[in-house]
Amino acid sequence: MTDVMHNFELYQPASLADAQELLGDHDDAWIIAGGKDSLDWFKHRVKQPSVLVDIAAIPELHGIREEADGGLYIGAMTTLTEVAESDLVNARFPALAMAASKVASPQIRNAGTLGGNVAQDTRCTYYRDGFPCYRAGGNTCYANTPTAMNREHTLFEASRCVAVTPSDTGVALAALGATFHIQGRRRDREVSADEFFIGPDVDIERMTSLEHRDILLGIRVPGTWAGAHQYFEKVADRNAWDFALVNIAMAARMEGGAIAEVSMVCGAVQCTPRRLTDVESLIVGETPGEELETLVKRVASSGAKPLNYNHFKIPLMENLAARAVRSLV
Amino acid sequence: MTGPALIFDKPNAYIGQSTPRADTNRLLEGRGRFVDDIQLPRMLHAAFLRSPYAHAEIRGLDTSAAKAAPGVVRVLTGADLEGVVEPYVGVLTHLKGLRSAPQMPLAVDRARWQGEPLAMVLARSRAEAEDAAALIEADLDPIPAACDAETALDPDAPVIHPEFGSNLAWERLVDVGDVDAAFARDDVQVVSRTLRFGRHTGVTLETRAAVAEYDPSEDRLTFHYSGQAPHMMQFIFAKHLGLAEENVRVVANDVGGSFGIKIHTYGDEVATAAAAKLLGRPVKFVADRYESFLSDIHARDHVVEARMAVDKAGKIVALDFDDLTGIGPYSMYPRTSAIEANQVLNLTGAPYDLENYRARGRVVFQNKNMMCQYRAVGHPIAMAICDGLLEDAAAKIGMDVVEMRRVNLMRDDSYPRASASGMKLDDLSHQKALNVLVETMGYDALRAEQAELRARGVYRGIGFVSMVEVTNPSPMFYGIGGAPIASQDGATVRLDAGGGLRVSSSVTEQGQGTNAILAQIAAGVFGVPIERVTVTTGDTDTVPYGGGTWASRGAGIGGEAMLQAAHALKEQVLEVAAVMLQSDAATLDIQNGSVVDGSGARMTLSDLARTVYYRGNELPSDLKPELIATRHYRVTDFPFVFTNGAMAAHVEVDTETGLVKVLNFWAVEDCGRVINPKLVDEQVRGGVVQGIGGALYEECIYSEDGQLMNATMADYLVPMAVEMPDIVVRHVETPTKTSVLGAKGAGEAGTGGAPAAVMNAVNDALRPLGATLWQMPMTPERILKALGKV
Ligand SMILES: Cc1cc2nc3c(=O)[nH]c(=O)nc-3n(C[C@H](O)[C@H](O)[C@H](O)COP(=O)(O)OP(=O)(O)OC[C@H]3O[C@@H](n4cnc5c(N)ncnc54)[C@H](O)[C@@H]3O)c2cc1C
Repeated sequence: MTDVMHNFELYQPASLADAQELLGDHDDAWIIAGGKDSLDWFKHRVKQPSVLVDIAAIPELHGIREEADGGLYIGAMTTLTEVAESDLVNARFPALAMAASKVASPQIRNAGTLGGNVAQDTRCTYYRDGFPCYRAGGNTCYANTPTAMNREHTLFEASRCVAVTPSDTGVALAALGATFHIQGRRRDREVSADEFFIGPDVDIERMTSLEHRDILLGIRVPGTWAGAHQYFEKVADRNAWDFALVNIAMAARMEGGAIAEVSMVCGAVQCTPRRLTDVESLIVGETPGEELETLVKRVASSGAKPLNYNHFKIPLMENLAARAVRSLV
Repeated sequence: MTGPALIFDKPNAYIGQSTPRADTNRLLEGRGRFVDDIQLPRMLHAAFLRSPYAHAEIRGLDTSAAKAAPGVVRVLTGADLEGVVEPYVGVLTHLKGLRSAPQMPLAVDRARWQGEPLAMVLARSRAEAEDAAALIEADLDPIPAACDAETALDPDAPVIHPEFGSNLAWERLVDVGDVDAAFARDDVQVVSRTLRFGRHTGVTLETRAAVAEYDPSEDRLTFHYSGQAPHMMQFIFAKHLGLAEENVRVVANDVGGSFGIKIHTYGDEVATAAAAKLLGRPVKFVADRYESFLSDIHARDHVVEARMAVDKAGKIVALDFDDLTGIGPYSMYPRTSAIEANQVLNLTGAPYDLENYRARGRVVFQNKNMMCQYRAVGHPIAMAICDGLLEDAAAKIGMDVVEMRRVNLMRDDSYPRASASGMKLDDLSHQKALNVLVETMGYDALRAEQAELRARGVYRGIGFVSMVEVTNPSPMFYGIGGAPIASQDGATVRLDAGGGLRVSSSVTEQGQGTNAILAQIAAGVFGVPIERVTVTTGDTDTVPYGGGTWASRGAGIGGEAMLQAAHALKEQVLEVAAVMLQSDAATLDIQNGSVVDGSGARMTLSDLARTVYYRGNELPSDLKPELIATRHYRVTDFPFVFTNGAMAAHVEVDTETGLVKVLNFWAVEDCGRVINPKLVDEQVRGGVVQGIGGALYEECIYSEDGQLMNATMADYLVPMAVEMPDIVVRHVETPTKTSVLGAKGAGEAGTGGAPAAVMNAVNDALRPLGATLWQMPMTPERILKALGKV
């Protein structure tokens, strides 16, 4: 059937300016970093851009730098292995290191980049198989019909499309309050996770606010949670090299045995990383323990609207939230 | 059994040693010769258009744009192959009542599963062929489909082959003893469960691939393929392409795994051969991963209603089940898709002393990819039914599962005998294997640890399986039913002038090390260093006639033929040597490449061979030396040579996430004489991993309308190294009396046994929580559901 990629032109600019110029010259130019998501699309011939801009050779996009506030700036081309193994990341943001280390397999982490991981497209099988769904510019959702297979789809915030965010690192970055540094056609901007990851209600054909000619330069993780207690856990059908059914990231500070501050985010339950604000406000000021866990389970998934086959994600989400709180004991 | 005795303890008896495979370096250095490595002059590349629907009328295929596309030489549709390919039907006469419809390589009029080939584009490059395939305008009219096997027999289900009146392909009932009376006894306890086994598939590293070459001047077809049974394919191409059998050469060089996937007749491969014949140009087809998932045969897909009655002492009084399996729209050619259900009926309960046994099997057509024989055909279902219920019953009557097996397993000194289903059994060691297993795993300590952890809220489980494996089949498997599938195999051993041995065999190598054990046997029995042996397999032009490799028969049947041939050549050589050395052949032997007697080496084999080949004048004229010998072997005394094994899994279930972690796995295997311990261990371990895959991860997930939803390696989950446990393998060796070699098969045991052991372990962990799960794969979702959390 299809094993061979379509024909395209490959450019490998060595500077940001050249990359920008190339993107400007070609309307359907596709940025390629590690290629781990992109090449699948091409091999299946579902997406066929005529121009690829490989950004691997641009020096500014690589590396992890310390910031004055105790945070870190991580270049978009930094590989997931580099993130997972970095001493700086492990010391300050273990939730991010853990999330990166749980992505796929060592081979994919060696090639896949942090920028590509947060910018990757959704895993909805209908969409990836090339069905002409809303996200693909069509006018129906194949995953949300009475007979559709949708065990991996949304519990929250569906809006015509029911696809979920696949990124493990995105969830950790959202919990840590990271910002995304983007070079656009005219100016640079820096946006929060809330603005970076977008739902179908904002734009049904994109998962992030990156537009054509936007290059993600790097991700800034502020010092806010550096060294604080952090937690990351992921549940998948297969405990390695598999996308999350649900994952969770948390950062918290304790004071006198009680939870003083907390940030908790769940992934793979809606199109964007989902901040569990109900849980956060419930547990601030409280002492972790069995009683609190019971309450957490009660609110963690409130408002969930399961589809035909994904009810099981509700207890998963509740149990993971309770476990995150248990890790504070 | 007559033949050479005492060949197993000579100085260079390689049998029993972990000699390395000869082809390791070649493969590691990238010098393998896989089908895709073949480049021929004027070769065309094929890409297929496949049906996007599970069931559709083909109104028309407009190929004009595709034909006009760059590089395209020809576009073929089903209609173009009518008259070129004779349709094939997957039935066997000994499976009474089995029916299937004639099949063509490319669908004509109607497509019956998503992935069925509709049209074939032949172009200068694969890329151009794919580009053009996308330009074919297929006017397809989707019609109602019968996808779910469980409803395919409903009166209102769409009938896939209207001429049959229903979707039933085959049905068989085994009824032994008085099952109803046994269940009605008032001193028995009954457990009953519905077991579900998801569809999965082989996922070979090298996908199916073929290069077909046709020479019109000689009306000769050469078909290079990635497969297991060259002679079977030779017959099939001859018959269905209208060629003389001797004019068809089938070659299987290096093969990157097959697991039973590559032993069937696939439309795309037949079309490749037909296209080569039509065009007179070589044609290459290599399946991509997506079409592998859509078109490589799938396996399992069973729903079983089962019940078991046991008495107070834990004795199984009766076993009764009903198995329903979906096989796709056709029975696969030529092995048929009824064999798996047949095996389930034959094998269930076979390790146990069982008097009352009833089993019904129904095989139904459905609009999904075809289901057929894959590693450990029927075994995982058969073992899970009986051992699953056995452990369930043990829990019910409060008996230890090992104790309960001891009560029920056939005694090791009770053979020959038959199973409840009538299978002839001999040389088995269930009780001993279980004892070795219990000792190896430290059973009592594990149980103590389990109880202690449970008190702390950690849920671990221990599960067992006692199993049989069908190996070394006789003609009773396929030949009796009319299939062109040899149950005998041949080996040829030739002494070359340089003193080396060139051997060939009709069994084939797909990565399991067949060639290595053939070399071991030849070297050991004949008496040369193993480095002096060169092995050829997989070429119908040069190897003896035989069945190939499947049903764990390579070592037991191919190996015995090699043993007999090597022994025969040795006798022939010693006869010549006796004349040349003027001594008595009975006092001579061959060791380390030389003819020896009590005083040491007398003559090298190369001296002997050179004399024979070059200087025949030095030999007496009445001596007619033959430095080549061929022998064939088949199993005659039994339909199958059964092996047995005992396995155990130790798992931990995370009750909050539903994740199962396999902590340990132990396998005790009795495959008779072990020719190469390392290779047998690899086979058992690989098999266990594949079995764990079926138990925990692998499933071809179809939507209700017959769309395969996870046809990529990112979505279809095979087990990965990181989450596999250490697998401890132990052997009990009870050689089979059916051959001198005494080897039974070992290739499928792990796959056949592991699923039951893992399922039992998971249920052992879940039972204290009031839950059990009887559906494979046991995914986090299903575990959470079983626990009542969803
Ligand atoms: C088998 C498999 C399993 C996987 N399992 C997981 C998993 O468990 N968890 C998980 O989170 N992910 C998983 N992934 C996804 C994988 O981690 C991501 O595909 C990978 O991190 C993407 O990084 P990349 O550099 O290869 O991206 P690419 O494929 O190069 O790019 C991905 C997308 O991001 C865009 N992009 C990349 N970099 C930039 C940039 N600097 N600026 C603007 N746009 C950019 C590209 O245009 C493209 O659209 C899996 C992938 C596979 C194939």
